Amino acid sequence: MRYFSFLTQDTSAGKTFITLIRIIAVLLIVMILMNGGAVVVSLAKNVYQAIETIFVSLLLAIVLFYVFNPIAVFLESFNIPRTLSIIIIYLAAAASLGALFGTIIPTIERELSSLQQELPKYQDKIVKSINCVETWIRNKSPQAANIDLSAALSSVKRELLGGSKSHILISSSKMIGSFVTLLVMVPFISFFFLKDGPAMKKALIGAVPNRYFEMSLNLFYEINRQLGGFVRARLVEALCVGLTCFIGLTLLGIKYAVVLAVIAALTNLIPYVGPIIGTIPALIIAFVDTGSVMMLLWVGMVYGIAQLLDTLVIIPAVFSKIVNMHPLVVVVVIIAGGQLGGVLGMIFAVPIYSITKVAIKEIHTGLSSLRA
Amino acid sequence: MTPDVFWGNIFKIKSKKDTLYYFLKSNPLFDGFSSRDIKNIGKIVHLRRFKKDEIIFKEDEPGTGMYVIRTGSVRITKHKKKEGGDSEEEVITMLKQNDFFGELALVEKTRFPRTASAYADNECELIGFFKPDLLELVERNPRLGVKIVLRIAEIIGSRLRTTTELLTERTEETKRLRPAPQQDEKEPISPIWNKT
Repeated sequence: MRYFSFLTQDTSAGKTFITLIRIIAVLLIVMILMNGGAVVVSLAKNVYQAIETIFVSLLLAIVLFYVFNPIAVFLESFNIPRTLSIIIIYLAAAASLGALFGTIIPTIERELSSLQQELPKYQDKIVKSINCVETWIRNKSPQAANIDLSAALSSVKRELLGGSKSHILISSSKMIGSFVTLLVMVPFISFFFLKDGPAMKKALIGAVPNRYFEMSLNLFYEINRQLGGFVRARLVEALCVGLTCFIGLTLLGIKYAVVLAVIAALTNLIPYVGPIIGTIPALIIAFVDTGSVMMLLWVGMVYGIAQLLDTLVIIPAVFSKIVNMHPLVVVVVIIAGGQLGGVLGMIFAVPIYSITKVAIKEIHTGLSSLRA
Repeated sequence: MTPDVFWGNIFKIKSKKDTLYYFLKSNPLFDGFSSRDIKNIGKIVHLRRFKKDEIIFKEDEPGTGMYVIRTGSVRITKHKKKEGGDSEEEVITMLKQNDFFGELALVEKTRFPRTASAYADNECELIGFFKPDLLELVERNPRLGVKIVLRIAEIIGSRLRTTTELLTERTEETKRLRPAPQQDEKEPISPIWNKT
């Protein structure tokens, strides 16, 4: 128990740790209250949801921390106090978000509503194309007569849209609720991570027994360095890919260039599989709108150039300090992540794997030297 | 119970001398550093408590940083090989309050193995100052970072000078003690191509 003695002592580390626990407890209570009046009826479900929201909030707050921390450190190097540096960053971020909401968001909103209106048109065209393919397959190979692509498509559509309108309404209202919660909670938690991060780190490390202290300190530092580098590199990558796609699609005159670029940037966060997923909507829209195979090739080329730029310029420049992983390992890790945690699992699979690898390596080195 | 003890217990004020700030400020390692610098250093160092005979670090372990003794004393030992092939630990030096050790680990590029072991000779409090924290400080506050690195360089330089002087002294002593070789015993050095 002596390892936890820092909690009972009047040290800044102990105080910070207790404050952290208090914040988490308050957050938990707020989350339970915010998750509706049905707490008594389905307390367990709500607690689970609250924990899930806290987990996602913490995860996103960590991402935000890694984005803002180098800027805070940079400002600190000019002798600006850390708290003031963080406030400056938050104000700048709020101004940027305001500008974003004022310019890009209305465009995305316009494009999305237009896409929603035109969705039946796209669906019809896709169904027609699939019917054509089906007929062509049946003509070519009579054994494949029992193949019903249209039925398969409708079942996929049912799976994707799932259930009645009321169900969608409930889930969308819940989604908006979660979004608002995240919008408030993530910057709030991130602020404390930025402000008290070093003290929190000191408190955590302080609990480690003397014999493993240096090893743990190194482990913490390595994980922090790798995770920070990874998060920032992925975001820079996503931004570059999104920008390249936006420029290319605008030059080609493809509709919904902004939405498609945002999709490309977001899906690019999933290594290997992501870029393919991100290309599909652009190819569909290009094909349905123009009906020309040549346009498909052009769109494919734009996404190809974005990926080439990513692989040849951004990855060597940004990822040079990140741990090297064999592509096969990456694919296996992503599949495992996808199976365990869906899209989020796919995005976080590689960093989690990378952290585990570093941890095992450091612990192994540390323990072997201790044994020797 | 005397009144002094009674009131002293009620209004227990931490003596100024007991604070980490005062200790760092009065330590020769940080001599000439401003109060603000000391406060910033105080944020990155780690206070560790060791029991009597507890290992602080062992020889050949990868080193991460240095320690300053706040209270107690530390025994520095090194393995020496005996004639039979066995090895035994020999005490090289004893360090007391305000002394520091392990500073090489702060400036080495990779984590080199420690050259000696350190044990707590009695219950002691050490201030740990580690390379990852120093690197972070250099990024956050380059001015203070440079100041600390320069101070460590000064210490290492001074220790190197002492070692060099000692080595020169020993070499001269060895030369003096060794009998001079006879002139006729010397074998003429011939180029290798002459040896057929």
